[in-house]
Amino acid sequence: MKLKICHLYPDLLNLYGDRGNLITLERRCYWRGIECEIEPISIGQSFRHDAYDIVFMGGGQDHEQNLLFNDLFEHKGPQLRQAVESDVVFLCVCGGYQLLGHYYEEQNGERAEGLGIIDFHTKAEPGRIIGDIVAESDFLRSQQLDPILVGFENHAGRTWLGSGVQPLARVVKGGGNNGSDSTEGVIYRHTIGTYMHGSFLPKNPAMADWMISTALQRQGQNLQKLPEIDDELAENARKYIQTCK
Amino acid sequence: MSKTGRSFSLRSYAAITTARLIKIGLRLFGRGGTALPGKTALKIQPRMLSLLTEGRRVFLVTGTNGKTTTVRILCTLLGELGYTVITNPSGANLDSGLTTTLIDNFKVLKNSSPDTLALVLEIDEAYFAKLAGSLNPSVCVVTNFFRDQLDRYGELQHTRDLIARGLDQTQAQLVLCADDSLCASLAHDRQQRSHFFGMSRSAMKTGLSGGVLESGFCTFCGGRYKYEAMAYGHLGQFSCPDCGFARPQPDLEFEASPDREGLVQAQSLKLSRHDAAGRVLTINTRLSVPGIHNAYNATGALLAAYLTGASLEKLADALPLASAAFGRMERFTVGSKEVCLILVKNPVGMDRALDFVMQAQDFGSGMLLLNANDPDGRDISWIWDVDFETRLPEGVLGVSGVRRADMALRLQYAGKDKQDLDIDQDYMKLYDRCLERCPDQKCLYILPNYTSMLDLRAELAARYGLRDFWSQD
Ligand SMILES: [Zn+2]
Repeated sequence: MKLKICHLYPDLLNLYGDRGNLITLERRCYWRGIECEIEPISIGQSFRHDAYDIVFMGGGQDHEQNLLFNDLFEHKGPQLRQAVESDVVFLCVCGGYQLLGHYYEEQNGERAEGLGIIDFHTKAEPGRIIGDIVAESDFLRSQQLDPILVGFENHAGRTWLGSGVQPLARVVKGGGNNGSDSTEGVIYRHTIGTYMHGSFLPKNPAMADWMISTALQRQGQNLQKLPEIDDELAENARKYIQTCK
Repeated sequence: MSKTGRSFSLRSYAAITTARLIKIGLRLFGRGGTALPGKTALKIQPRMLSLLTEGRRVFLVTGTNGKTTTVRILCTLLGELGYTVITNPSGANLDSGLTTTLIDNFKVLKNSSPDTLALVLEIDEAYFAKLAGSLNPSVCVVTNFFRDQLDRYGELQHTRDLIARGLDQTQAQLVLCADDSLCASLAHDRQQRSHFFGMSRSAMKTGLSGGVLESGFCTFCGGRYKYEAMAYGHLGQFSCPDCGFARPQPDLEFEASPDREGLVQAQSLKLSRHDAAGRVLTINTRLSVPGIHNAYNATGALLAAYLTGASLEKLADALPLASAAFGRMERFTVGSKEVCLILVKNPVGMDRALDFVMQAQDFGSGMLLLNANDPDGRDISWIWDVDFETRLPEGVLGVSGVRRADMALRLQYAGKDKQDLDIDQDYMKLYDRCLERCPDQKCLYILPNYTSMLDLRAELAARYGLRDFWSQD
């Protein structure tokens, strides 16, 4: 068994320990004897929708995000859309998440177009949403997985989902998509968008395992259940966020 | 007669007196407060900082990393040149803390002439734009731009722009790191007054270094920098192929090597001064603080002191007298063992500290402490940017601090077995066990972040009678 993971724009979108998500996927595969290859793809390199089992895109600094717009729209947009529509497992965090929607509107009304792959948009508002976040995911529950997601968020953009779009989770503590409608993130086919940055997958092993097993099933691997991993340390870190203040 | 004495109004004296009374009051209650007296004085006389620094020889030090060490070294150098030096305690680097510092030293300020007095002030990078103009600096040192506490400051480019704005409000000479693209970019439109320090090109590594490139893209045009050689992090011989912006030739360069007397907490430096005519003067010296990042700090401090007109020889002679700033790197002996504290605040700092620990011949045992209080930054996801995978000390590691669970999880993913992690909420009990585990004649290395350092050091100071760090102010 082997998984090919694409890390999109690792030199531009690498804020807040985004590396942790890849380390987690790679280690959890390794501990189970699943081979895993991570390919960084950045500006000027082509992206093919059928070349990867998992795609990851993180968040970036505004200055650097502007640089990748041309490349993203002109060279990678259509292939990315096709990857999403053909059920490739795709995780996007923060800035990467916002890029999948229709647009990002600055406070001064200026709009940056998004890829428009999923029906949502984002508007910047004064004051950033910063802090620990806990959310409960009906989607994970429907997969018979631990439904509690924990993380840290830091964003000025408020994301509003279209009416037919399913949020990844409901906020229990923190801001989530926009700080007012209790939604956090998005799930569409096998694509997940979230504002939980950095150690999202390390602290949410159920989510990481869902990505790995979904990617393997999509390859046609016949597997009942992934071998167990001792997640006591992750559990302690999760407990801390759920119980602090 | 100093200028200060003439221009001071009744209002200013009222402000100073009030601040001093508050300070005495705080001392009576056993507090070493640094903010409140200054805050009160500023309410009474908002122009306080400007009045207190007018006509003085003022050095400002800002940047994301290395401020405190740079200040410490610069103070030593200026002291050796014969100046009376006034400086603010680390952490008191906002307007209120600065005002308190200056009021505390009011007598000295009033009674000494600008020719024999130097003010060396550490300024928080986020407040530099607000403060620089009112502090009348003659020299501004900008150390570097590393990712640090991003949840507080937003982003590096923004921090760089804030500092640029502050520099435009002064006529000060600028001391900039040539190898840091964001820092070097500050010379744009300020060429006449810019001076650069950096690592010798020949001492850098060729081929791209690993890890996160913090600012791989040109500040001016967005092109991707080409790196011919790297020092560490994103510091190196960079150039932008699109607009031509490139690392400037440093006026003062260093080449670091292991200490010739064999001390692990020291290093030898070869300094090269490049003058406008292309001549190079080389001189050898020692630095009593280890690490490439500290070689940068020392070279920056030396270049700032050089701008007073001092000779390079004299400064090189004075450099070995400078010691580490509080808590950045501190060693003491406990019986037949040593204990070394190294403050770490961000991924690059942690990578450097781990490099140092991994190379230390006397490594006996290790301990990591992680808090997430406001001064630390609430977001601890930066630990996933640390390259623990290639820098994991052997054996059992102690883990404590409020976010010990996150640190333990990080170490597990980096390859530590659960049974090799000693996790304890009680950091003193953990300290005792880690010291126990450390063999005789070896050193226990402790890597805490900011507030966990303060907690631990307070306990250690009480137990071993270490010098109280409040006594610095
Ligand atoms: Zn350029």
